[in-house]
Amino acid sequence: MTTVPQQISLEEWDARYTELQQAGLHEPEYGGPLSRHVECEGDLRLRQLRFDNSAAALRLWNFLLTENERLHKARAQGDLLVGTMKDLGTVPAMVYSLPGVRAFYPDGTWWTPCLMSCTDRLLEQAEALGIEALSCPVRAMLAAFENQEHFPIPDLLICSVGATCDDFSAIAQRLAHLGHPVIWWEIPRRRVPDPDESACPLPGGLSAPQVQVELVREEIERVAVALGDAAKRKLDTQLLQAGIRAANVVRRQLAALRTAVYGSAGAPLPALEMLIAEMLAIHFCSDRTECIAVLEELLAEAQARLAARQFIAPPDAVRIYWVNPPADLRAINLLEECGGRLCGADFMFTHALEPIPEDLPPIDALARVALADPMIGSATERARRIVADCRKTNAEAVVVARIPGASHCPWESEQIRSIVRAETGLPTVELEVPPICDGLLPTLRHRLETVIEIARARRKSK
Amino acid sequence: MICAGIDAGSRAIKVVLFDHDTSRILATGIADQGIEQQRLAEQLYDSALKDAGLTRADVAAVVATGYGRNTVRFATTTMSEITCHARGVTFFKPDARTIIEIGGQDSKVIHIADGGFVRDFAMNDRCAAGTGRFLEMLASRLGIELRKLGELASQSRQPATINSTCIVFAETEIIGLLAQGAPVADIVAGVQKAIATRLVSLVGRCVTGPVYFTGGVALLPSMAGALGEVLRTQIHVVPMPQYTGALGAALLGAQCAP
Amino acid sequence: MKVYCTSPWIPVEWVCAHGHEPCGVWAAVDELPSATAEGVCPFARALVELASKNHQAAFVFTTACDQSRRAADAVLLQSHTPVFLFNLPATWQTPAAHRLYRAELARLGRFLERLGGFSPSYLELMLVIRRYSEQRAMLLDLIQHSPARQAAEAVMQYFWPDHAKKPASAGKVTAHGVPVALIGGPLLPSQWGIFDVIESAGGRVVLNATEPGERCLVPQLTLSTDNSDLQAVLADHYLDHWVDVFQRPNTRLYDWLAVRIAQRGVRAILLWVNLHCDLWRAEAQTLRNRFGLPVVMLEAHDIPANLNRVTTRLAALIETVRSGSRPADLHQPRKSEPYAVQRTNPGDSP
Repeated sequence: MTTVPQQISLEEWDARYTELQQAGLHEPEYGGPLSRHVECEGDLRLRQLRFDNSAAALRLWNFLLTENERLHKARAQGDLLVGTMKDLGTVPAMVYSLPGVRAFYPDGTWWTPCLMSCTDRLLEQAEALGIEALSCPVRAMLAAFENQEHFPIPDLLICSVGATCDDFSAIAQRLAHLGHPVIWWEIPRRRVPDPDESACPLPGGLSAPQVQVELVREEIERVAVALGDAAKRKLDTQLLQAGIRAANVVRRQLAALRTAVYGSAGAPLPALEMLIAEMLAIHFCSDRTECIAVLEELLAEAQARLAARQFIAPPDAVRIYWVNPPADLRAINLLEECGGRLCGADFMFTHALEPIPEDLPPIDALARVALADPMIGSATERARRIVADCRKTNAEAVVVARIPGASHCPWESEQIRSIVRAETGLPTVELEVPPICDGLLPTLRHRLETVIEIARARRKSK
Repeated sequence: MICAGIDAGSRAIKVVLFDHDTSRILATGIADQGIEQQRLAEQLYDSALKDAGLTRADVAAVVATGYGRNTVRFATTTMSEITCHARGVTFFKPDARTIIEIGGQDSKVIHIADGGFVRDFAMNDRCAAGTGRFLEMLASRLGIELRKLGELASQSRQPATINSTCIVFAETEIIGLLAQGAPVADIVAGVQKAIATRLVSLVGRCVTGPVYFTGGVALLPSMAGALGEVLRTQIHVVPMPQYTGALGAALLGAQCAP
Repeated sequence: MKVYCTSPWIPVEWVCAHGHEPCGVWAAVDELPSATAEGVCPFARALVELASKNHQAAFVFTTACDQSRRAADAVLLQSHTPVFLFNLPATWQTPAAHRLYRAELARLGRFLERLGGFSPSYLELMLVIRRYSEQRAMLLDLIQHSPARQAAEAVMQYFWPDHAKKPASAGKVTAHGVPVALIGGPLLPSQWGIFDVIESAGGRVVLNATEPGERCLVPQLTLSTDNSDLQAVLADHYLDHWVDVFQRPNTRLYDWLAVRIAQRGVRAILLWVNLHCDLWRAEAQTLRNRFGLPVVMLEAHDIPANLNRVTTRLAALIETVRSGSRPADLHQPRKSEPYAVQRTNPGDSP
């Protein structure tokens, strides 16, 4: 169902919803007007966002915003719930291999304060639980476990540790101290193999020493055993292979969407919806089948708009490569408002976008994917991948979003920017985006406009 | 027996003369803090004595507290503000179990055990975002008097969200909100809420009531309400909130008087 | 060559056995930088500055925290100083963790050889391990009977014998003073004034669990003639005994603290933290809950810059403890929180 692409407010979506219904909109059972998420659940932040006006976007948002409901229903019907933390994409691929088990990321709660405009004060509650305001907004997760007003408490918690952010590690440990048992598994800091070591290729063109792949393989095997014990069914090779194939369907679907949207002259879909769509790859928003359907519909919409030459951002919008997710989704809306469009992104989980190798033993394949996580290697390696992506996508500028309190940002941001500048000459800008960025909108807008202006001036000088 | 308590704070010096025999406050005094802290403290002390018709010889002990307590060289002894505020508040409200003190430059939470002893405490003395300094900055930025902030805050319908834990960056946020036409009342209420939120990590998970609010910031109407909303408990303002430190010091003077 | 070790879990005897001079980095940092970028740990920043200026020495960073890991990246990006990033396992219960640590130790050995060191013979390694082990045993005993500052000096000399930057204080053991535990991250010699401040306020440090403090000395390792693989024995001994905040779970740290807090009658905990140190800061509440003691946070960058602030906090704490109040019912010590341990070998113990 195509229409003139536009970004509209929540109020405008009510009218749009009526239009779509009259035109014969078919919705899944979680469908409905977006405004109900504000009225019924108090997601006040939705009032500040601007949404794509397509039925595909409606489905995407409803899918995202009903995840907690879905998890509660799954619990009610006897499904096992696994809370996976930090690995961003690997463990869910295993979990969904088992029938009657679902995985989700409790750390996704870090967006809840932004989506709900702090109505239930998760950040304050986290402070009361001993995690200071200087910490990453992911501390909201702790409060969500405590107040139990969001996701149901999972039956099993699985958390990767080692080469992970300090803030998250500290919060997860606090969670354990508060009585939530956690299965910890080690993810080493990925390094370039020494000359005397066997190198093992990883997805994304990376490599790691064989000894690291073996370590992670052993750890993932341990996780698989724990999952099997919890589900009372052995997570065998066959199940894992099927799970990997299904996860790859999602990844391929997303890859097609990214290619269509990022590779086009004008942007058929806005940056915000692309960010949400990419996030689905990590854990399928707790429903793998529906996730595929959502992505298919988004792709169909993008393709229809491209065919009709209808764009959210015109062909002359400046092509921006975005690094790190913003804590407040409002910030990424600014991109189109300031004359830019998303041409590529590294939202900290590029390894979850790569297909999991299907020609390897499944545990081995999962180990390699886990080791391809951009956050567990050096900032230099991450920056080089960003440089390669920028070249592939013809990026004209790079935005590095900083998450206040995240331990990697203060070091990494400058390293990434300096390497990108040195190797591509592209203008870069850093945006610090707190959970509610209202007060900083003029500053953020000013920075984006400046970098876009510089990018336009570079076009003229070429 | 008459004792004097001097609270040499970073923004203001307060003095209280207390008669232990009649259990009465004889005189109080307050002055802005300055560079010559010893001289300012002496002047204020002598002024309070004069108001009470007393001389230094009538005073059995002088106890100094506050950040500048060591500059009050004529004091008999010094004690921490934690102990002094706890004593001062429990003099007025013996049932106090949690005390929140927000001053010009710092904030404290004091947990009181049965018997009136300090059980535990937490202090924020490095981050101005949880102190009266934040309100001073706001008043200056808005061009209004500090004492009018409370009334403005009460007109707010939806407090603005101020993220920054540093008032330097918070000021940028406030400027941004003003530029976008956010109602001034909402901004003021947002700042009060931000100050209250900074207290959450000091208070911790379990708030044991009754909770009493003291310090200069307690004089601002609606600040207690902001605290109460964030901490989800009733907050009571003690009488003479600016003087509880000096009063506590004077009360404790009995322990060290000859 | 001088090899600066940034963590107590890099066995100094391993560096020594390879023919290099191990130097505990804490003594090399004169003071913390007064200004760092928002979010950057001042200690990690100091390490970057130190490493960037010392091209003639090597630096061994670790993955104990994200700050340290990324500090290593920063040094590699901006200087030619030889740097080794040692992957310390965060987990400790599994054979995989042991294998990782052993492999990293071997890899460090190869790095040390490339720097002009040598691979020690069995006998050479055994003698060095024994020497350091005996030294640790003596230190662990000495610590119990020495004033805090003297003990800290002795421990620093273990990690860097030639550092001798600060003269040992002439402090005497005092039986007075409220017994406190000083727990947390890196405590530099330039910050040892904190011991004096604590004593002036009426306290007495009976447990120094900072870095490098008492908790950074693994117990004596007794070698037997059956030990054919000394490297593995050394690695396993370290991994089986180190206690630190970054371990997952970090229950071992609490078990270690619990024994000593009870034994030494600790009445209050001083949590020593660096700015932006998420790992230690997040433990304040857990320490409070677990031990039922008042916990006061001391900011590392306040020494010596903001002594007044520190003195005020300490004075208030000592008064609180002395006033006779006992920890309230609300802060009953909790039993160890449950954690899921995946042991693939039943014989393994935490």
